[in-house]
Amino acid sequence: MKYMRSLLFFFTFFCLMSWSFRLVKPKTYTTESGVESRDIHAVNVLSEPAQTLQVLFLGDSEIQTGVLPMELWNTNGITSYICGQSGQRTMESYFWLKEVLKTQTPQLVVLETDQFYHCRDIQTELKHVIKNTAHYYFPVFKYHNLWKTWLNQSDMAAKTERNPLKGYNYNDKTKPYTGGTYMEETDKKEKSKPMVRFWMDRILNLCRENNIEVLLVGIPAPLNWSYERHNEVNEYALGKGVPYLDFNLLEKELGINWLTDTMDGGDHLNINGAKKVTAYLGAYLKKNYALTDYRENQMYQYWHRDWKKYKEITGKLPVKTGDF
Amino acid sequence: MAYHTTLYLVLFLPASMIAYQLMPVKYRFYVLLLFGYYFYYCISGTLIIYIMAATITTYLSGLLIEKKKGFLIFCILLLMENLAYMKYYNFFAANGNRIISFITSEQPFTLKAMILPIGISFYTLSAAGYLIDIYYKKIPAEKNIGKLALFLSFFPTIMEGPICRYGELGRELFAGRSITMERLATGAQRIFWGLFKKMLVADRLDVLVKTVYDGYQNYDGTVISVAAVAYTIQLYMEFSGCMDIVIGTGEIFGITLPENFRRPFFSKTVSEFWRRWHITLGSWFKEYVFYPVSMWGPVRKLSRTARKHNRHWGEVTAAALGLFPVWLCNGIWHGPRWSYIFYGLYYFVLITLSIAMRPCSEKLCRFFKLNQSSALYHLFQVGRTFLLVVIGELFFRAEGLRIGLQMFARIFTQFNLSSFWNGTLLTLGLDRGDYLLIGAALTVVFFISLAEEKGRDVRRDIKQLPLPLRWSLYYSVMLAICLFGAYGVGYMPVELIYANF
Repeated sequence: MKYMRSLLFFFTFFCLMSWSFRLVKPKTYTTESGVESRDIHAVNVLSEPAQTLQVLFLGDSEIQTGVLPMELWNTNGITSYICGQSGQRTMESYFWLKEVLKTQTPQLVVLETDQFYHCRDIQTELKHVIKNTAHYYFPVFKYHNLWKTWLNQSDMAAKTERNPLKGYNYNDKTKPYTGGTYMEETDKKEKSKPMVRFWMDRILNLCRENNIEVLLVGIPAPLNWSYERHNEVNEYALGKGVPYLDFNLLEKELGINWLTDTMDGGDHLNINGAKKVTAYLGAYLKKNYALTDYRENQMYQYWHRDWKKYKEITGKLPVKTGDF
Repeated sequence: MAYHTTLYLVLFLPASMIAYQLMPVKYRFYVLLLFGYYFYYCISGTLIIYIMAATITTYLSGLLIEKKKGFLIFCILLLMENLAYMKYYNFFAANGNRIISFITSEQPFTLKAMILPIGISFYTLSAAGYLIDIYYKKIPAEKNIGKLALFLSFFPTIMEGPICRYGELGRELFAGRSITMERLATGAQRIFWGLFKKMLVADRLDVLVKTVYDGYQNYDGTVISVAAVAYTIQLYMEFSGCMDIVIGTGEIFGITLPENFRRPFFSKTVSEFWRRWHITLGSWFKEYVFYPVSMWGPVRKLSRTARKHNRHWGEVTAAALGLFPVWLCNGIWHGPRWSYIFYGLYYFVLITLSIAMRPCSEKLCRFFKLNQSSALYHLFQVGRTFLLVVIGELFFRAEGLRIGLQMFARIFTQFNLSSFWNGTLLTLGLDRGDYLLIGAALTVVFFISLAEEKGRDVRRDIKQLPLPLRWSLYYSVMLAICLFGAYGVGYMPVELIYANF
């Protein structure tokens, strides 16, 4: 009886926790409305109309700066979004995927492989597991500080807007990389942590359960990548039967010029580099996956409007666009 | 992994509870020891070696003192050596350099980069107390080093105390009592109350306190006095809140830990305040410093001589001689800073003055026909004590004695009442909502404390409430922590203040 009462106590508490999210639910995804600045590019995936995205990109800042969803749209008619965060861990990718799957059914999930090496000590990782799990199941933990908007209702009145960059973190600065060849062929491997592979496995399982194909992608980044890392991810991909496209090995095919295509000396691509990667990726996706071209579809006309906004932003604003 | 973190509350504590409960009663203390060392390793890494060394030293010293009492001083010095060197070397070296540089312009002592093991001041005092108790034959020396190791590294007490006595805590630690639903509920109740105080009030006030103390030059006396009051409240809410979590954790394991706070802001005098604030530290100094010093031959002789000349001043002298080392040690214990020494001596002066001025104040009361037992007079006493405590905390928190004095001076030289209503207070990192929330939370804490002060056992009262009402109360506190806690976006995690001592 005592145990039943305890169960009832916690069950009621969890119900209350779920309900209390209604009290602090953000009406708009901006830093002012309580969204963490790290989430700001990714979070507007939730503003996309339901069941409209074909491809979902997950990963860290490499994917945020390495792929242009609007270019994919303009050239191939593919609807996609980048749910990226700086230093995104595989566990975070997992929870973002779960969140997105509530409203979208993408055909393909593209995972950037730099996150195979985003793992610190066990304490930090456990802390992140608890945080992400809590945020996913009880979003009140994430947005609880919005109780302050009760005192000022106008803060809550703004309407949600789509992000015309679709999660891309725009930057047109150029700082050349002059370090030379960084992908020296070797048989050595740089081991990734078990925690990373555990969450990667969960992502693959989740995709399998939802009939979503998975593609592992490595965005060119001389400062972050090596052949040892490539070997490790390649072995993992082979073991799981997942295709792996490492752009770090395709410099020539992409036509990457490290003097003009990186914003910070080889850590991230700038928009020039991203366009090259996107052009190659678009053709690859078109060839290998049955993705529909929606450019002529009336239901997707807002993508043309977003394309115009994207052109305005990338054409007029010289530096980072900041928050949406 | 501080006590208010999710890592502690969601993973570490439940894991330790499960392991403890699964173990046969006889061996349960080993589980606590194992988790204690793991906890310490998590917060201090390889510095765990120091607590292990202290444990071995204490263990061997205990056995030695039991046989040959004359070794007490040597053993205490040996035990204190690490603390003295790691915590105070740089302080004495820097001050030594300063003095010598007046004469020779040389600086003979090299300052060293040292990392202080967390909790060293707490476990060293506990260990010293253990040795002194053996010396006075209050307890026998512990033969099982595992048990002594657990006493010094019990994970709820390792960061911020309370400073425990082996004679009291030992029995509790090794009893291996089972975790029952009732113990779990009672412990959880206390833990949530602690979280309420820390996360709603203390961590929220931290923003204001940091803003003002870091840039005190930019603020007038009004803002500085607000910050001093805010810090006093923050420190109480944080430290007593942490103690609630610690004691609640103990309750889950069926271990009764000593209380460290007893509603200190209801105190009518400063000495009463210290009997209610950081109680275990105060009683440690009373037991192991005040009494031995007061009983020391030369001190007793001096007091007797003073009494012969004038009874009152004799008493004052006796008290002062005993109190001076207590308050000096209290200040130094907090850290190697002049401001802490000043803080300790500030209380020494206040308490000695209050003893010295007692006949005078009684005369004044009689002269003005003040009723000393009236509620109004008590209120005045409580207000006066609070004010004196706030002044002490201003120096305690200031980054050095000089800055403390400058801040204190500003209160008198740049006091500007308009800061209360011209919006200045809204530029200190807190908005209207924050102030409202702090006010509401403090009101809850005040009324509960008031009820306890009047002799009500609030926890028993809650237990006797009808179930729906009781649950609603629990849900309110839990939801308040989740919704209104100062954590997440816009808040930096706030470290436990006393863990740094």
